[in-house]
Amino acid sequence: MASEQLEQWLEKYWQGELSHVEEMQFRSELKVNKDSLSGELKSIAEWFETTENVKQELSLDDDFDAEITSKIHGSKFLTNQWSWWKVAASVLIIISLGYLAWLMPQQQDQSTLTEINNTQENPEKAFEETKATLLLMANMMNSGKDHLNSLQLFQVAQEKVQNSLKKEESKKDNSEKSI
Amino acid sequence: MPVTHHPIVMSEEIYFKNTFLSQKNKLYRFAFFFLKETDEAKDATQETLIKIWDKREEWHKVENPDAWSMQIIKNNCLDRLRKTKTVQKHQANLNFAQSTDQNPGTISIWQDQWKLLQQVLNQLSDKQKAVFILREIEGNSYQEIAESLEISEAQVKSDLFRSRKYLKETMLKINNHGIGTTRTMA
Repeated sequence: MASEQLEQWLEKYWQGELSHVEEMQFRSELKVNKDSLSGELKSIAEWFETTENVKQELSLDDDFDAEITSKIHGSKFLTNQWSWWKVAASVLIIISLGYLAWLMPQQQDQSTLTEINNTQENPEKAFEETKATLLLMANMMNSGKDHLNSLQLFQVAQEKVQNSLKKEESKKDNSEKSI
Repeated sequence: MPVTHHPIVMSEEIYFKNTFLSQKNKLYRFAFFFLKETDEAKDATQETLIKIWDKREEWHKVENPDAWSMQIIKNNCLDRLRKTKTVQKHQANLNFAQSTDQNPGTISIWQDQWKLLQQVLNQLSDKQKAVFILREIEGNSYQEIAESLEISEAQVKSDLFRSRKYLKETMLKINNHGIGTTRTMA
C-alpha cells in the first residue's frame, strides 16, 4: 500500500471523514505495514494496536455469566412469589370489604337505638321529639281539614240547587191545581 | 455481532444470553471508562443486565437490543457518577503485564498509549467520551453510535471530530516532549 494513501486516510481519520469500511481498511493496512511506518503514521498504528489490546484486556470471565444466571433464576422465583402475594392480598381485601359491608348497617341500627335510649334518659329531648311529631301530625290534619272544607262547600251548593228545584216544582203543582 | 432471535421463538433465558449477556464485555468496557474502577464497572454491568432481565416484558418493543442495552448502562454510569458527587480525578489503571504478549517493549508502548487514552478522555464531556469509546475502542459505525446514545449521526461526527482533535494534539505533545516515564524505563 502506497504511503500517500495511508497519509490521505490519516488526514480523513483526523477530520472524522473516514467511512466505517475505510477505517477498517486503514487499521488493517497499518497493522500489516507496522514495522515500515514512521512519524504520525507509526503513532496512530500504536494507538490502534493499543485500543485493540484494551478491548481484549478489559473483559469479564465466565464466573460473571454464572452469577448473572443465578440472579435471574432468583428473580424468576421472586416474580412467581410476588404473584402469589398479589392473589393473597386481593383475597384479603375482598374479605375485609365484605366484613365492612356486613358490619356497617348493624352499627347504624345500633346508633339509632342508642339515640332512642338517649331520649328516654333526657326528658327535654323526648319532649322536643314528641312536640315535633305532634306538630307534624297537626299539619297533616289541617291539610286534611282543608280538603273537607271544599267538600262542605260542594255539599252546600248541592243543597241550594235541590231547594230551588223543589220550590219550582211546588209552584208548578199550585198553578195546575188552580187551573 | 450477536445472533439475535425473536423472544417468542425461544425461551426468555436463551434469548437473554444470546442477545444481552453476550454483550457483557462491551458494556463492561463502556462502564470502566466512565467509572475508572473495575469493581464499580462490574457492578454497573451486572445491574444493567439484571435490569434488562427484569424488563423482559418490554423486549418485544425493542428494535435494537444492542443500542438499548448501551442506553441502560450509560444511564446507570451517569447515575453512579452523580451519586458519588465527587469527580474521580484518578486515572483508570490497566495491567498489561498479564497480556499474552510479554515483550517488555510492546507492553511499555501500550502503557504509554493507555496514558494517552486517559489524557484524552479526561478532556472530553460525557457525551463526547461515550462517542469516542464506542468508535475508537468498540469500532461501532456512526449509525450504531447514534442509536446507542440517542443522538443524530451529525452529532456523532461532530463529537468524534472534536475528540480526535484532542487525540492528535495530545499525541503530538507526547511525540515532541515524551510522556516521561514508561518508555524510558523499559
